[in-house]
Amino acid sequence: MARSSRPILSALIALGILSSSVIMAAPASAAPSGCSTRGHGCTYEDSGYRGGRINFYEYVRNFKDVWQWGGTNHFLTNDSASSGFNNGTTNRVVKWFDDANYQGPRKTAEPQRGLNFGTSNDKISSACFEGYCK
Amino acid sequence: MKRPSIRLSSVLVVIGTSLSLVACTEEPVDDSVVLTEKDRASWSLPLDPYQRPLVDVVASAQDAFIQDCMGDSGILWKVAPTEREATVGESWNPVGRKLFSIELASEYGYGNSSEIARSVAAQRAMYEAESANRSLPESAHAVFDQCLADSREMTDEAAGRGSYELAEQLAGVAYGDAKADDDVEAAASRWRGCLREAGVPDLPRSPDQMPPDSIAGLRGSNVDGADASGEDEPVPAEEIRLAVADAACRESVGYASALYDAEWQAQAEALAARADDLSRYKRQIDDERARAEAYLTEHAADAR
Repeated sequence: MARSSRPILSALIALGILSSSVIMAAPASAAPSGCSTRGHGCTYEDSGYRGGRINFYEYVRNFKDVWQWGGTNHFLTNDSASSGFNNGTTNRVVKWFDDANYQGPRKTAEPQRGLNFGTSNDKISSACFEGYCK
Repeated sequence: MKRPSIRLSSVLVVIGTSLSLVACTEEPVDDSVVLTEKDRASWSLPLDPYQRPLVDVVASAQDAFIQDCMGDSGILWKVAPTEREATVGESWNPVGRKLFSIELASEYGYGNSSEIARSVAAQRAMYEAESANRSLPESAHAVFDQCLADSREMTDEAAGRGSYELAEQLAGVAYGDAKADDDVEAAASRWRGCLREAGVPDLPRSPDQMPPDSIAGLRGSNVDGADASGEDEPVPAEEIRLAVADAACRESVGYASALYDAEWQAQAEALAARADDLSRYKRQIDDERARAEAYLTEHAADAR
């Protein structure tokens, strides 16, 4: 079977880059700036909860449909997110997906936790609270 | 770079993990890693046992704990916990991978069922209960935060989170590698030729980029629906027509099988390379689930 090489995976594994270090826990009641509304899943343009925000209560089926990053005049919303935080009011995780309509690889944040998207950086196209991916 | 060798059989393959691979583990690794059975219909993959399940007993135990904890403070915190015997919705596999087939496309287009199979009434009740939680005063949210932290302590959750995080990272890279596989790219090219006949003006380069704007725009909104009826959103007939044609093309040109085989292989290699970490994390996850099961059993007995 013809196969392409896997330099990315091999290199990341060898270097030990694929670890759990991307998860960033936040103290209780300490949602990052721009994510103060309880019930929101918050998506940030830059890593470390910085840059523009796209916040949602339930889902974003396709980031292309969001006009611009909140708090900025940046209009490239698809394939450009770098971090996220779960400020939900229930014990539900938030999931961000590389592809639209909740397809492809995902990154997950539990309530009151967030993360840099790591291998999904600048790839995110949809997101939802688990149970609300519709 | 020499890749770890993997022996495959038709049912289960056991990979012996080598202690020589251990670099920074906290304890000796003496167990083995089992490859899950191949099943394209459910898109079963080697890293699945290390991924967060949709029906998660730990979350159910924490929900029960939080509800009691909030009640102790006089706060009615509504929750619709996922029952241990719940089943996942037909659009999903047990670890939350969205499935796509002719049958699913004919029902949901590019959409999907709910993640957990529930009746319309149960789904509506869940939405209403959780909507009420959002309007609780800030003081109640502070109590929730503390109860959430206590529930995590109850299941000793922090110990086992590494499995999910590492598996998500590995799966993400494996998916990218699979899409770049020669066989997959060749099949994607054939898929374009097949689906062109269906009349999609902005056909993307690869099936993973479906649906394009011309199809996604057939639905009203793709962001935060206000609909809490619990009923499925009506799917435009044109979306269903194109989704079915898409699914049929993925099968007929061999794209679905090529992607599955490539993704399986990439995940198997990732699993072999990080077997020690993953097996250690998996033991912690199993311990956490056992604590959750014990809590739910005790909780049910107390409720009688």
